[in-house]
Amino acid sequence: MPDQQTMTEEQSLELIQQMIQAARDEHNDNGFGWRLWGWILFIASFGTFLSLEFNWKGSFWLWNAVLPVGVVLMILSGIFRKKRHRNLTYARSLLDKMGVGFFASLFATILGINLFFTSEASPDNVEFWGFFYILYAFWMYIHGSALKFRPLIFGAILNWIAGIAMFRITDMKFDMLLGAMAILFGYLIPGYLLYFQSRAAQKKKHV
Amino acid sequence: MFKDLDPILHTPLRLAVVSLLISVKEAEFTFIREKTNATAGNLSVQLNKLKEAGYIEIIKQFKDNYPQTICRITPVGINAFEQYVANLQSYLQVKK
Repeated sequence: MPDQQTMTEEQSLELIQQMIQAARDEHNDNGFGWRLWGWILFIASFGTFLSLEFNWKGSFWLWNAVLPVGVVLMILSGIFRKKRHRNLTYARSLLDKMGVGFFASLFATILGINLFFTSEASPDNVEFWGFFYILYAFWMYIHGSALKFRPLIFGAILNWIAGIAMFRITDMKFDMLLGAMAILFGYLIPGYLLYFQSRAAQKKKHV
Repeated sequence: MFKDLDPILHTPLRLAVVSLLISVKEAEFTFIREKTNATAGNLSVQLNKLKEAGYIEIIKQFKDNYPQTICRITPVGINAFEQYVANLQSYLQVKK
């Protein structure tokens, strides 16, 4: 960096490029999350295979046992990483939000499936409606957090809850009623709020 | 007709700070100091000048009993930086 108080145009441009590069270089991922979840999923998959192969007790217990361990370790690593983080890149910020959305959807799905199996004595097939609402919730959460728009985040939470509940509801008629409510409060109301917000901003521009 | 280069940005340290902050959502004081090789005292003075111009916001807080200073570029700062780069480019094109 030049020491003098003023710079030539070339020096200015060089300095800008140098600093932008320096900020980019700081963004790195040590792969902790991938390694942690890799082991957890490997143990759960291979352990379940062994359990089925040698007729050990149950088949899903290992999945339900290792996943909370992973969540606890991820939360701890998140707290630890925040202590070390000295800059927050846009990419990291978006990845963090996507991570929250993805894991919330994953656990909503696991919770819903477990709810279904605790309610059904001899299930032939899993109720599938909940999957769609959980997926929609993920999409809404990403948009809501990227736009910093709370009604959409609230809508996402509502759709996650509705998605989980749908695994427990056996009558499709009530699945549809719950779905309609989740869409009304999760999509339509935030959608109209965004519309009015955008119109107000446009008016302000033209004043 | 050229516009003069923004005097707030046209000094090495302040331009370095704004260039760093344009690339990230936020950055700690220690990160900026390390990347710019500036002294803490000089950096503090220049950050305050940028803050007074409305180009950056400075958040002072405590984390684990240690003071922490976080800096973010503002929309005014983004506009000023973009204008500065546009003016630079027009100067350089004429020089060619």
